[in-house]
Amino acid sequence: MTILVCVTAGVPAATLAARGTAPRSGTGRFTLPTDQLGRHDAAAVASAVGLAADREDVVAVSVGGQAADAGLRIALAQGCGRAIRVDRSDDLDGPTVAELLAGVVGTLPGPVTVVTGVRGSAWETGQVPGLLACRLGVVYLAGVTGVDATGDGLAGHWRSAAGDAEATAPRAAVVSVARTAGNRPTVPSLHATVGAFEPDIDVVAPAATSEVPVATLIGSRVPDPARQPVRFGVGELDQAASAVATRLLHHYVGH
Amino acid sequence: MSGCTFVVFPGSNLARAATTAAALPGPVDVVVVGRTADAVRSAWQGGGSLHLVGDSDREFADLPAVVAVIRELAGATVVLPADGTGATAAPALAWELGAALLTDCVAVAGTQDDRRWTRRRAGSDVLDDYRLPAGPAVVTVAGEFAGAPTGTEPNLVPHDGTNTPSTYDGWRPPNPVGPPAIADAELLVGIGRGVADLAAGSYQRLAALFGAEIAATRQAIEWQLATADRKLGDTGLRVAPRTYLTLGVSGANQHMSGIWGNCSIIAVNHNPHAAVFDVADIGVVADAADFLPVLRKELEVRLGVSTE
Ligand SMILES: Cc1cc2nc3c(=O)[nH]c(=O)nc-3n(C[C@H](O)[C@H](O)[C@H](O)COP(=O)(O)OP(=O)(O)OC[C@H]3O[C@@H](n4cnc5c(N)ncnc54)[C@H](O)[C@@H]3O)c2cc1C
Ligand SMILES: Nc1ncnc2c1ncn2[C@@H]1O[C@H](COP(=O)(O)O)[C@@H](O)[C@H]1O
Repeated sequence: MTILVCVTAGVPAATLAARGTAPRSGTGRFTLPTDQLGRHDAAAVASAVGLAADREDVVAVSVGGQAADAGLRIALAQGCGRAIRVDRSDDLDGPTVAELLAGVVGTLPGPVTVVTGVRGSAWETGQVPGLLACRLGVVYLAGVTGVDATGDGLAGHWRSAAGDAEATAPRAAVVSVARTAGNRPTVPSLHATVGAFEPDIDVVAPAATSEVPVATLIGSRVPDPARQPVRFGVGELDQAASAVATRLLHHYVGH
Repeated sequence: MSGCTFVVFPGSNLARAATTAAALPGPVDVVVVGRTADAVRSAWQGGGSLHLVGDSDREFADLPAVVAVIRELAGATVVLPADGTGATAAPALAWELGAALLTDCVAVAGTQDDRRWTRRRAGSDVLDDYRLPAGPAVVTVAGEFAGAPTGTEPNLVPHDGTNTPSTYDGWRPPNPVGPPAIADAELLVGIGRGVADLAAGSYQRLAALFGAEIAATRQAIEWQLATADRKLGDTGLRVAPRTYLTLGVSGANQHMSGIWGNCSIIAVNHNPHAAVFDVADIGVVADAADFLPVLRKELEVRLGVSTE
C-alpha cells in the first residue's frame, strides 16, 4: 500500500519569458520560491501524510528538472518518507505529466492512493489529476478539503459554508486536494527541515511518452482594453458610474 | 465536422449554461446529462436541439453514454462550462475521445477554418490564443461566454443512460452539496465592513436592480451585515461569477480566494491603497455612500426603471 503525492515542478525560464511573468527568487531560473510549494500542493502533502499509518508509505513525486527537487525537499520536511523525481525539464503538457506519473504509480506496491493539488502552480490547468485517474482507471475525488483512511478505502470530505459532503472510494484512487482554511499545512520544524536535505531523491529517467493531440499556442497579447485596469477618483464619480454600469450590464440582452 | 457539442453535467447550472451555449460558435448541439425533460424545459430558455442522456443524478455515472452521444453528433469541439463539474468531467471526455484538452477559455474568435480559443495565463493579465488540433478537442469555457438565449422552446431528444457501471461512477466533483444561490450567481455584489454605515437597504436595492446576489467578507458577517452562508473565501464559498462588484471590501487574500475563474472585479473603496485595487479591473476610490446613489441613477437610466 502506497500513498503517492504529486507536487508541481518549477517552471522553466523559457516558459516564464513567454508567459511574461518574472521569476520571483532563487537562481532566477524558476518561479517556485525554494521555500514554498504551490498552495494546493502543500495541502495535498499534508493530506497525504495524514492518510498514512507509516511515513515510509508516503512517496512524493515531481515531474521536472533539478529545480523540482526544492519542492520535493519541502514534501520530505512535511513528513513524506521518500521522494522521486521524473527527470524531464522541458515544457510539459497535462497529458504528458499524467502519463509519466502513471508510470511511477506502476512501480509502487499497490494499492496506490494518488494525492494531488486541485490545481498546480505552473499552468494551473487542473488537468493532471483527472487525466491520471483516467489512465489508471480509478475513481477520482476532485477538490476535497480533507481525506481519511477508512477500513479498506478512503473517505473524501468537502467542507464549505454551503454544507459538508463525503464520498467514499477504494484505496486505489486519485484525490485532488483544494487548500482551504481548514487544511492549512503546519510549518515543519527546523529539525525536520534540516533532516529533509539528507535523503537522496530518486531521479528516474522518463519513459517514452505517447503523442497526444494538444492545442497549439499561436500568439499572446495584452487583454482587450476593456479589461485593462482603470481607476477613478472622488472627482470622477459620473465617469466611474458609467464605466461600472457598462460592465455590470454587459450580459444583459440589448446592452 | 464543424460546430460545438456543449455538454452539461448534473452539477452545472442549467440556466447559466443556456447563456453560455448561446455564445458558442455554431452550429451547437447540447447534451444535458441526468435531468428530466420537465427540469430542462423550465430552466432552458435557449431553443436548439437538446439531447437528454440518462436520468441518474450521480454526477458521472452516465459518462460512457455521453461519450456515445458525442460520437454520434460528431461536432468538432466538445465544450463544457469551466465550473467544478465541467472541470472534473473534461479530462475524462478528452481521454475517452482521444481529444486535445484546453481548459478555462474566456473567448473564441475567427472563422470555422481558423478558430482561436483564448485562455488567460495563470497569475497574469496576458491572453494566450490557441488553435485546436485537427482531430477532436475538449474545451472548458468561462468568463465572457454569455450570449442571449433565443427564448424559444428547445427540441428535446432523449437518449438512454448507462446500465453498466464504469469507473466514472465513483467520480466526484468539488463541492457537490446543494449550494446556496450565490454559488451560481453570475453577478455578485460583495460587501465588506466598509458598508456598515450605509443607509439601510442601499446596496440590496442596487443588487436587485441588475439581478445580483449579495456575498460578504468575514468582517461584514461579524458586523451582522450578512449571514454566514454568504461568506466568500478560505473559510467560505468559492464561486465563479462573471462580475464581482465589491463595496467597502479591503481585498484580503482570505476573502479574494473565494473568487475563481475569469471574473471581472469592480472595487469601490475610499482607501486608495486597499489591496482590492491590485486585483480590480475597475477601481473607484470613493466613499461607497457617495458612489452608490450615482451608480444607481446611472443603472436606472440605462435600464429605464426607477426604484424610488
Ligand atoms: C484564518 C483566517 C481565515 C479567514 N477567512 C476568511 C474568509 O473566508 N472570508 C473572508 O472574507 N475573510 C476571511 N478572513 C478575514 C480576512 O483576513 C479579512 O479580515 C476580511 O476579509 C476583511 O473584511 P473587510 O474587507 O470587510 O474588512 P476590513 O479589512 O475592515 O476592510 C474594510 C474596507 O472598507 C473600506 N471602507 C470603510 N468605509 C468605507 C466607505 N464608507 N466607503 C468605501 N470604503 C470604505 C476600508 O478602506 C477598508 O479597506 C480570514 C482571516 C483569517 C485569519
Ligand atoms: N510536473 C508535475 N509533477 C508532479 N505533479 C504535478 C506536475 N504538474 C501537476 N502536478 C500535480 O497535478 C496537480 C494539478 O496540476 P495542473 O493540472 O497542472 O493544474 C498539481 O497540484 C500537482 O499535484
